[in-house]
Amino acid sequence: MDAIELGIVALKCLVIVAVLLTGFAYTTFLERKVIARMQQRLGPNRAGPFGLLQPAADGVKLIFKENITPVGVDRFVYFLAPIVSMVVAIMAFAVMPVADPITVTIGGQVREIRFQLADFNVALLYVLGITSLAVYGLVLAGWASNNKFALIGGLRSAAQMVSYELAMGVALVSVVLVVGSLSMNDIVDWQVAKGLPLIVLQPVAFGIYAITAIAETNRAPFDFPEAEQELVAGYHTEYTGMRFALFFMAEYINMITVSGLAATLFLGGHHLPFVERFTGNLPWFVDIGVFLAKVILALFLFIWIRATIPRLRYDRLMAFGWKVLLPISLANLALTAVVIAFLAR
Amino acid sequence: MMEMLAFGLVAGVAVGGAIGVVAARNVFVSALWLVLSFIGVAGIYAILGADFLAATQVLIYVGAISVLILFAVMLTHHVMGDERSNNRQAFLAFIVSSSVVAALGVLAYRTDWPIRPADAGGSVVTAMRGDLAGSSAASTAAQTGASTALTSTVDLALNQDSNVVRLGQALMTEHLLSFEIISLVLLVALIGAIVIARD
Repeated sequence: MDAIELGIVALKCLVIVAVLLTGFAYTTFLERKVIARMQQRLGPNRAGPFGLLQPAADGVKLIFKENITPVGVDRFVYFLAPIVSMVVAIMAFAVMPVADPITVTIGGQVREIRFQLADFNVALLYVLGITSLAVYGLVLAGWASNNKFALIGGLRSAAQMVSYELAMGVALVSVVLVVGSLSMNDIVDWQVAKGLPLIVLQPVAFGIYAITAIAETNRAPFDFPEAEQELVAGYHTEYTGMRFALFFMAEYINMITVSGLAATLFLGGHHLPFVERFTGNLPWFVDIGVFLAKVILALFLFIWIRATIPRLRYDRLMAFGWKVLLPISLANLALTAVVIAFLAR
Repeated sequence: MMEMLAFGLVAGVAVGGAIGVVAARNVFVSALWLVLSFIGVAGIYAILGADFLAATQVLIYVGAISVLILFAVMLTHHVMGDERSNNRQAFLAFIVSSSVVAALGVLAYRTDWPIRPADAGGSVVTAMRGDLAGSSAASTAAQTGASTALTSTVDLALNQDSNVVRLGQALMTEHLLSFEIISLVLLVALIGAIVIARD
């Protein structure tokens, strides 16, 4: 790895962070606009044209707010919790492919640039592992805050995580079985080669993934760890200013990540599997647009569900996860395995 | 050199975390140190080129088991106060754990590790990985003919220097008996947990 290679990697890291932070800002804007429209309101429309500068105004406001540290908190863990949330949220995006690689000539050398920070053969497991760490931010915040509402919020997030994660993992294993690889690029290439997105072959896995993804990002109707009406603000009750903003960012970046994962695994990633049979492979900038469109579609679904379904009782998710989702995903896995074994004959 | 540095770092995290577990005054903090130790172990797997093992270590030990431990601690203890987690069995535990360390140390020392000296271009780790991939390619070539579909998957994975497929095949052929026994033990534990919970 020479200096230019290193520079490219560093640049990719910067781009990912910048894009995710901008994405976070405009996801909050999208959410406020869409929910407002669904509730017969206008939503933010004062700052800039169509209110487009609202996220910037919110950011400035949050930066200038005072950081209050309450009495009796565990200072180090209290300080650590939002950082854990944020770091984990950004890390998960590293293996997401957003376009086909391009070749460019830098200083007389031909180099291949991938629109992906890293691809290794257990990329899917990496994403699952990293996103499963997100719960630590919530648990640590809840424990360190010296506040019973925060503690209950943290406790709930741990209980919630245990009940959905198994079903999510098993559902994704069915996808891996079909493709025969854990690499993101292999999964996308397989869908292009076969000419159909995996949602057609694995609709049950997609449904389970969609439900568990909502639980994973703590979004309504599964937003138990913060449940405003019951727990004040749950795990981040005692956080103010930028520290609160970090939790907020982590939640929205996680939404973007699980949407990207859904697009990659089930919707053909940055390709249009069926369409490209007729048009041939599309150029890289179209790829990025396709990926973005799929992510925004998934984000819209997130917001739509939040505006539609009221919060469940928190033990209902545990019962639902263990007694409904897990058996269905196991049955789906067994069926998939049998069909694959039969076809391989 | 880079490998030694990386190994020192993750080994330090793993051992430091483990010391933190026994030294912390609060059970919850002990559990947090345990998480750090698990992450260090995952790092060691990653350095050895066992990427699948590293990812599952994070997914299962850090992401699931430790969360359950934290959950149990939060539910059952006065999580806010200091509470000595050491008790009168500390000396006994010391003897048991030191003998385990001694046994593992002797085992590690006596085992003939297949490490080739680093050649000029590549590192020890890549040399080892190349060696492993080569030997498994030979063994899969010997097994070819059973199923073409399976072989093509293996080729695909080997091209990316993967050990997922090889791990799966080893579990399902060479180590099938131990795999089944472990599954049985887990099943028994699962049923036992349900029986205890229902009482």
